[in-house]
Parts: sequence; C-alpha cells; structure tokens
Amino acid sequence: MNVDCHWIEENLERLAFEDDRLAQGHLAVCAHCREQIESLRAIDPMVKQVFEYDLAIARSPKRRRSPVLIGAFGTAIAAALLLIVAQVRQPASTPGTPAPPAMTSKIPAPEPATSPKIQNPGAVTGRAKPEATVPDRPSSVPREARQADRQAPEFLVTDLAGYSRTLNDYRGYVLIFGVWDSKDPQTAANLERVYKSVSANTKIRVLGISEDREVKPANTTFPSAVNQGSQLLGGKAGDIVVVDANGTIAFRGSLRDESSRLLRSVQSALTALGIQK
Amino acid sequence: MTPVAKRAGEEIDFEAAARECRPFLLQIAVASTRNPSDAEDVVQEALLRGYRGMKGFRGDCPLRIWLSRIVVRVAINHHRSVARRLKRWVFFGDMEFPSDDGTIHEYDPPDPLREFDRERMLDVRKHVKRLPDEFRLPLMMLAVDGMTVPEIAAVLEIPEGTVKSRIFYARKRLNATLRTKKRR
Repeated sequence: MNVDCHWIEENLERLAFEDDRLAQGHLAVCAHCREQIESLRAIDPMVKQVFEYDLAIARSPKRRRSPVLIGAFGTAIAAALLLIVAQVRQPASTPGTPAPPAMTSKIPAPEPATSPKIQNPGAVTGRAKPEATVPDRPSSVPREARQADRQAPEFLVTDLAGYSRTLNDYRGYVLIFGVWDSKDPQTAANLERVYKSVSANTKIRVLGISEDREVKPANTTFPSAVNQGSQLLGGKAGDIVVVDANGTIAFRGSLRDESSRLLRSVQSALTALGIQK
Repeated sequence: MTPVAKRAGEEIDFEAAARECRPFLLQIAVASTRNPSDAEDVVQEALLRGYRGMKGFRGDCPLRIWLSRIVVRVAINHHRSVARRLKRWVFFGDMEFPSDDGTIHEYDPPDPLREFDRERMLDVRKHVKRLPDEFRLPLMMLAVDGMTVPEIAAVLEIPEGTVKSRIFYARKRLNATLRTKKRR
C-alpha cells in the first residue's frame, strides 16, 4: 500500500492513524497533511465548546416575557400620558364655559334657514354666499365667539332690476334696511322718513325690503329690494336694522314705532358708529 | 442513566422516566435547535407529545432514544415555524437576559486554566448554526454526553455509516469555512 497525500485525503474520515504506521510515516514528513488532520481534529473540541455554551444558555433562567411586559407597560404609560396631555390641553384651548351659540340678548337669534329657495342652488347667484353658519360655528375664544355671533348673517335680496345683493356688497357702507309690511303703511312711511334723513350721507345705504314682490307704496323713494328667502339678519316684517361698515349689527328697531322716536334712535345708532348727520 | 425500556406487559411510569430523561433530552434539544433558549420549550413540547403518543412506543429501543427522536423533530419544526420566527423578531427571543440576581448566565469554561477564546467560539457557533440540519445534527450530537455514533444513528433513524460521513462532511466544511476566514 502506497501512503501518499492522496491516500490521506481519501481516508481523512478516520482522523486517527495511530495504528497505521505507514500513515504515521507520511504524516511525519508531510506538513500539509499533518496540518489538515490537526485542524480537523480541532473541530470537535470547538463544537463541544459551542454545545456547552448553548447548554448554559438553555439552562439559564429565561425571562423572555419581560420585553413583552416592558412593551405592554410602556404602551400603557404612553397612552396614559397622552390622555393626560389631551385632558390638560383641552381646557386651555376652549373656554371653560362655552359661549352660547345664540346672539346676544340684544339681537334675537335668526331663524334657521328653511327656505327652499336658498337651498336650491339655482336660485342663488354667483355672488351669493351660503346661509350664515354663525350660530353653529365652534368658537375657541369667548370674545371671538361673541363677535362671531354679532356678525350679521349674510342676507340675500334682489333689487328691482333683478340683481342679487348680499351683505358683502355693502361692506364699507353703513346699511340701513327696513322690512316694510304691505299691510301696515306706517312701516313704509317711517322707512321713507329715515331714508330722507340720511340720504344726503354717501356713507349710508338704505334698502327697503319686502318679503314678497309687492308694489312699493306710493310717495316712497327709498331703494327697494325683494328678499330671496334669506334670514335678513333676523329681521322680520316691520323691523329696521342698522348694519355697520364691517357687517355687524349696530341697531335693531321697529318701523312700527312712532316716527320721531325711531328717527332719534336711528340717529343715535349712527352717531355711535361715528357718522354725523 | 438507565434506559427505560418497555417490556411485555410492563407499564411505564412515564413521569418518572421523563424526569430521568429530561437532562439528556435537554442536551439533545440544545444540539438540535438553533436557538438554545428554545430548548426547554422543545423538551416540554416533546414530552407532551411523547406522553400522548405512548401507545405508539413499541419498546424496540430505549425510551430516551424514542423521546430523543421526538425532541429532534419538534426542534426542527420549532425552528421552521414562521410564527416562531416572527415572535422571535418581535419579542427579541434570542436575547439573553440577566437572571434575578442580576448576573448574565453565560458559558463558563469548566477549567479556568483552559484557554478559552470566546470570540473564536462564537465565530465557530455562528458557522455551526449555518450548517444544514442533516450535517449539523450529527456533529452537535457527538458533543452530547455519552452519545455514540450508533446512538446518533438510532435517534436520527439513519445508518451508522451515514452518520459518520455526515459528521466528517460537517467537520470538513466547518474547517474549510474557518480556514478561509482565517486567511482573510
């Protein structure tokens, strides 16, 4: 039998060649084969070390669930903190007692928009704005809320030429509009007197509004318009409303009042707005 | 350890047998599974299956060999299970945690004088884990206390010659990997 590197390679599986003198002889002279066999023999002790290491891990007390618990606790604490932060921040951003959605006592709350005309998009022209949402608007600051409540809701009328007018068209002017009642000629007469008293002032616009398309009473000169189903800032037949340049209601009265008293109160409202006769 | 063999008409006290076999089965589980922290679970699962399947034990081999076969099967399935793998990813099951007294249980070499290169060992461990199951299992089982090639053959249900050649192949492959790495 000829023992050479090839033979050793083929019989490497035996690893131990102590009983084979020929192989021993070759290993004594061939460094390559010796190194190969030694490195192969070193594998088993290393594997034994690995095994013992793994066994120590397997025997060590396991606390594998702790990360789960830590995660659960962490999530719970984070959720609790979030809740607390949300609770703390909520009162800061909103008033303790929410402002009443209705207007101030001076101004009655407008009726909800129930008119089919305004809900029908065809009836609303391009310049018209949707119905006022002021009472429903959420308010974050009480002062703002009050201001918003006083903000006159948009109204929509058409003048006799057929053009629609909204409150925006009167921005920058003080608008005095009265809703005259065809059944009560006194209202139209009073409005006419108001119009006469302020018509000289270019800062003031006057509108006589009728709920229906009715013929304007004789001997009246005030500009006339027809309500298109809007709330008219809460004005009903026989009411007179003064809206300032910013669209805020400044005065609300009745055209059925005695004329001189009405004129006085309108005048005082205009004076309060800084408009002299 | 005395092998618990079933003889004709003899009832086996499974609980006592399991208690006796448990340390051995744990070693088999450590040799079979890629994640040693799962070894206890594997043994538990295998014992449960063994208990349920006692009727299938014909008594033609020692009970510990029969149970070892179950352990090997459970260990391989355990590793393959996608759910397990996901769980491991999510819950960091591979991590080692300190025990109650705050110390981390690591492999402690029995002989402090023996040279123990931990990094080298971990490197070998990494490569051992990468070996295919059919080569890794015989190689690791050879490290189990008292395991012989015929016993490995009995547990893995393959011929002795196959066990030997697989062990040789595993050694050779591991050697080649480690030497290539050394040369780099």
